[in-house]
Amino acid sequence: MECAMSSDALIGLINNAVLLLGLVLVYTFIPQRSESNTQLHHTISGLLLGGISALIMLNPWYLEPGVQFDTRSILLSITGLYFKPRAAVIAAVITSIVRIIQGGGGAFTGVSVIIMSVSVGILWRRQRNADVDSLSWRELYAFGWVVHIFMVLLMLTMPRAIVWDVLKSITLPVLAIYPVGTLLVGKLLEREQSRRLSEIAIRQSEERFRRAMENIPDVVVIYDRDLRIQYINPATHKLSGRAVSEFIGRQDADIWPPEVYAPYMPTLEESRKTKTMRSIEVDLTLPGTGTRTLAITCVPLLDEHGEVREVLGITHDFTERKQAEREIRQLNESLEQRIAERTAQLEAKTRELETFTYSVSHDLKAPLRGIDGYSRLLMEDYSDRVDEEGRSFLHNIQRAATQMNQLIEDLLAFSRLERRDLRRAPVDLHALAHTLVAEYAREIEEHDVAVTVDLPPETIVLADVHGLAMALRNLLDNALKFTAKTKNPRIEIGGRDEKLMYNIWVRDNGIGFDMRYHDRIFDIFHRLHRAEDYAGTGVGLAIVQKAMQRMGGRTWAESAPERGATFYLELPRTS
Amino acid sequence: MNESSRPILLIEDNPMDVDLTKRAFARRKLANPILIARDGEEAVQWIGRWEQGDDVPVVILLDLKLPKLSGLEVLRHIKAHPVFRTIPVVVLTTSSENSDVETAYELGANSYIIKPVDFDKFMDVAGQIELYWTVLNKSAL
Repeated sequence: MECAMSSDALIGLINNAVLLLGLVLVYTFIPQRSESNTQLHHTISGLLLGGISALIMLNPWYLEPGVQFDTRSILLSITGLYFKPRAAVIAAVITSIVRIIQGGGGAFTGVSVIIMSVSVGILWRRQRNADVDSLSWRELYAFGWVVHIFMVLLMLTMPRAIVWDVLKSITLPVLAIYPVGTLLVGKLLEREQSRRLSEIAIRQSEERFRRAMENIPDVVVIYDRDLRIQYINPATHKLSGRAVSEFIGRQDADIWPPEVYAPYMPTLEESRKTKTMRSIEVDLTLPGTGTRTLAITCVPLLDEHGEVREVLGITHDFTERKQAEREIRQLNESLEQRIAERTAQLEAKTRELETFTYSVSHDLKAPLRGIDGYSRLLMEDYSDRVDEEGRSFLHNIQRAATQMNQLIEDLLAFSRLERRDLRRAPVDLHALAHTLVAEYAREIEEHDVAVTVDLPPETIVLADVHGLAMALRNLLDNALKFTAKTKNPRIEIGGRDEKLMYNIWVRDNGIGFDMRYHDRIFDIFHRLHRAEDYAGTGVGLAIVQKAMQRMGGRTWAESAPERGATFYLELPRTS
Repeated sequence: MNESSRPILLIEDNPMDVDLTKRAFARRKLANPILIARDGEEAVQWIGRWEQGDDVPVVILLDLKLPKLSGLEVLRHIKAHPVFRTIPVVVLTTSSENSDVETAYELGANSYIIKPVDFDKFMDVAGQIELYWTVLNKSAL
């Protein structure tokens, strides 16, 4: 009798479990807008699952009237585990109402089992922070055991008279069947869930690419393996002026005249043949459009056997960019040409100036020689016929000629400095200073000037030797000139290494100048003194400045009236 | 042939310079006759005369800036001549341009002298030229 009862229970409960699986399977077929995560959606899920539970509760195994067993604990625990608590609670409420209506001695226990199943499910879900997308078989099976051990324990709440009977007949069948049932129902729902999610993903991905295709400005064509057009995006209308429908199912040769498709067809066929991407740049004149510059890229799409299934053709129209590039190139060319023309003009001007200075040197000097020569001849050959005043006139003529000659020479030196290439090379400054001082030996002796060269032997600087010598000569000229009326005149040439620069100075104790005029004294033709006091052309310091500039250096001075002057030459140490 | 009786050829377009040069030489008591060419073409024509048997100058004084043919072209003509290229040519000019100096020597000038403006110095130069080229120097021709 007991055994018969137990096997009855086993069969009855298996039947109920199979019914549950069947209904859950049906449930998975119900189309759902699963992407919606709304309260309504959860409510509907709860109602449906509650409904399924109600159906299996109407087909239970009866131990005796009012004491019935079914697999609602499986579905409700699974609902708690996989669905939002809202759905689980709704299902629990529906099943509880049904169980209470069914009534009988087991009603209290029945409702308790319902509450316990849903609660364990919800707690388990919470324990996993709702991460229940892929539970292991083992965990799900363990979950089934936990729920149903609680269920068996809840049987103790049955009316005292039948507790023993209940435990005896259902403990083994429940523990044998229910955890397995839990496992199966769970996996069924889980699989359905993931299928639904991937469906969403695919739909979203398709939507994404469809949107992209419809909106990109490039023409995208998908050919089948016979190069028949399967798909073409709306951009084609803008490029060709033809409707999309004119292309579908046709080959390029059916659509275009040979001069249109001939240039790119080999590339398309090559891409299909070699199963690799191929690109080409072509100028095409489609009927009704101007010539367009297109970049066509062909990408073969392979099937799972590695054979070409379709070929993707992407056509990018970059006519405008190409046109702009062409214009930029033309502009550049014409700009370069204009620069070349200007340069040629400038060079011609420079040559003209050079010729001009050459002419100045020659043409101005010849008459000057005449003036000087004939006034001299007049003085020498006709002195008996010219009186004292006349002789002083002749003397002035000669002095004017000499002065003008000096001016021309200085100007030539200045302009030559402008035109010549200054080549910087190591120069022994110590030796150069001594050579220059020697050149002025006569003047130095004449005025009894104390000249010192305060430079270590073999001081090497980087300079153009002619440019540097010219600058130093002019500074020495000045120093001698402006110490001519000084008592105990002194001139010092010195230098100091300043790491990046080398500074050379020429110092005198002459009449000096007011620093207000510092910048002006380097201007060409600018003089601070009257010609009768100090002779000069006003070119000397301009030559110094020009020479230093041409060597990448600079010059400046420090002075005060009647306190002497120091002129500095600064040369960079590196070329 | 006596060196002091051989002429000096002065190639110079400026009449004042010609006159002053003549006077400078005269003051140095120079005995050589002075021949004048007033432009480049005239200078080259002299070569023809020497070929005809005219007296070959003991030295040629050459200005660089000349009408028609430039001094450097005249120099090229003289120095290209198989016989008369040995005549000493002294460039006597106002130009102190490096390029002129270099070109003149490349073309075979024997000396390059910058004409001084100062008449005293000019006379010095005339004296040096006379001493060196008509007295000291032994010419090939």
